[in-house]
Amino acid sequence: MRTAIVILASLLLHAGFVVAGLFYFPHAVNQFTTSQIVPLEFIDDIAPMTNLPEEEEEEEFVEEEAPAPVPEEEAEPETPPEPEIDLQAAPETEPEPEVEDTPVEVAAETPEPEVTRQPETTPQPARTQNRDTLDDLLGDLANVVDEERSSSPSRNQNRGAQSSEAIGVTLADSIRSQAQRCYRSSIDAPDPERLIVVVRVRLNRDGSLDGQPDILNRQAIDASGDRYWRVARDRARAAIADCAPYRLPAEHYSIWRRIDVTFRQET
Amino acid sequence: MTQIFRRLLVLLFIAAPVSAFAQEPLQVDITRGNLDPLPIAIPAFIDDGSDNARGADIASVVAADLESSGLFATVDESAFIEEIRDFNLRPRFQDWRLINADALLIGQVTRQADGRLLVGFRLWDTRLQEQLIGLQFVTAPENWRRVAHRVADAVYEQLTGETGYFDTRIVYVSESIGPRGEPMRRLAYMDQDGANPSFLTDRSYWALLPNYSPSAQQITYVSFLDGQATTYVYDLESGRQEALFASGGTGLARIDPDGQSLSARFSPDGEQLAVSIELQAGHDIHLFDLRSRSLRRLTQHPADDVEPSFSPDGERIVFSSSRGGGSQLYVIDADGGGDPQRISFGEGRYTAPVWSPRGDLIAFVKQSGGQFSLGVLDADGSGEERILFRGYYVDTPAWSPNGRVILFTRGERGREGTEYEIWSIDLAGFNLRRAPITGQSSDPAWSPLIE
Repeated sequence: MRTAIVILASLLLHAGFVVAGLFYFPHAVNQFTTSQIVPLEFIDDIAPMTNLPEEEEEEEFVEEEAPAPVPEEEAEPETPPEPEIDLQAAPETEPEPEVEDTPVEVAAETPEPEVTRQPETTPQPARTQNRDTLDDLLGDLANVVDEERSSSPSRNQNRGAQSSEAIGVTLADSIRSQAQRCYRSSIDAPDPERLIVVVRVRLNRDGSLDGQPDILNRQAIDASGDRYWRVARDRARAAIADCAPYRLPAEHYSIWRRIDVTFRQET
Repeated sequence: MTQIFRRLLVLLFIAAPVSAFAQEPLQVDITRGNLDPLPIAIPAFIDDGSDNARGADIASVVAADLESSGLFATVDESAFIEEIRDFNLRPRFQDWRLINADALLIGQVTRQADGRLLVGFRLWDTRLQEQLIGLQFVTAPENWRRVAHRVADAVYEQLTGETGYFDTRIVYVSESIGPRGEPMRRLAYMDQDGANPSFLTDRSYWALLPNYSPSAQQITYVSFLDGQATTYVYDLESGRQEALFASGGTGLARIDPDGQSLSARFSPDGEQLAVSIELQAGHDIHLFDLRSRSLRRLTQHPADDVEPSFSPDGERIVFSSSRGGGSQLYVIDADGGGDPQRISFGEGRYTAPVWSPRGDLIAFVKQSGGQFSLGVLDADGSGEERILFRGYYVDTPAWSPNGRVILFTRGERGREGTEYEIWSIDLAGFNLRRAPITGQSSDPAWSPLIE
């Protein structure tokens, strides 16, 4: 019984120290928070602190008389850098919880689910509407293109019922024309032909993204250590995300539910 | 038999629509995209609001760096919706998507207890809603411009795949008219963006054709200090300079060339200089070992071999020579083995070859049809040459350390003869820009990245 009380007292005391420590060493709290949140938030906080050498210069840029025959520019004493290595970046505080919901909400029916996930900040319905109309406009444009394509005589008259292959080609054309306007080409990289990125995209019935697209050749890209390839990968992902939702005929959903988009640089 | 065929056909017809629902992912190929500058928003870095806090200054230097590359377009500050107050919070991405900022750079400047600046930044992709990179630097407050350049380099590298080149310097020849109307040519240098200009040589003699050492600590240049063109090695740290070939054999190389030496360039390891010297008849390419101070002849031809430039692996040297009649470009092994291989075959005079830091290309100047052009060709002589710029006068190409941008001397007819300025152009032939230098200038040389 007595030992129990002692243990209890000890526990309380330790807890007290910990609580007191939280108040006295708030920095430690931050550190702790950081190490927990970093992996969750994709925050690459590895921050190499670089010590830039000090420089002194700007001597006599506007000099009037310099009779000395030999250049007299003084040395630039660069104080040796004191390496200061701190791998801990400033902590990530307050991860907005709603961020976690993003993928789910993107999958929802409404094209602008973000409006709902701004509880404390002032929602900006006017702007959101602007964006909607813009999206609609672009979407309508895409629809017009699609309609023109599908109603073109060569497609419809010659084949009463389109073969699934032809439908696939038409759908691929539509997706290509919708996605490539968001795509920054890597054609200006050295040897761009090698920078192939294949993205598996899953779409909801409303054309929005069903989860994050997968990079099918991710391993090859990662293993290569090729910065240009990594950039091409990010540009491909950004293009897919940026141009969503895609306007595609709902009756063929089974065909475009899953898409493999191959980005390549043709010279 | 025919029945079997019919049944097979029927089966095929049934199978065909079924295969359409076999859920194979639809294959889409995208081979074209845009090459538009990437829209990036760079709000003033968060600081404590004091006078020398530098938050806004650093952001504007970063923005100017990125814009100057032609690969980025900064979004106007007046369009910003979200005000970034907390460096550690996720931005409201929809606010930045709305103003078409594909990338968002936020930063923070804090003054440490020791008085130094701690500058941190986070680069966000607003489409992917991901942080692409986050770094921080510590430096003396007066060094804030270099921090800004380092931030710009990191952003550039993350978003283009290329190594940055903003934390660099440019040495050049400042051209002016002296008090008695005589032309003056002095060495000057500045930050890559034109800040912090200063002179290296005085007005009593001409200085031309500077080149950087790989450590960025030394330059070579051609000086008329002795009355004739002589290669000098100038130490930027100490301000000391020494003639490579002084008269009477008193220079670094203990020979008396009894002639001119021109445009020495460092080897990539910094241990040798390639230089053309006139020892007997005509100029020849020589290698000068800076440690053993010995000179080795690399070419031997009655015609002039001039303007040597090392390949980045140090194994080959390109130079221009009139050995085939008009001036053309040749490549020779740096160990002297084998005959020079001609790599330029077009009409006109090819001069001023400079090997790209990437190794695959050689920049050159071509003179044909009363016009000058700046071009690049494949280092192995294959493929077509590519002309990037044509003009009244072009000379002295100099690569950015990442091999993406070329500086060059551009001359235009002015009221009092040709007027010279330094311009830059992207390797793809766009983004032609004048270097931010007051007055006339020529002979640019781009430093390596400063460590």
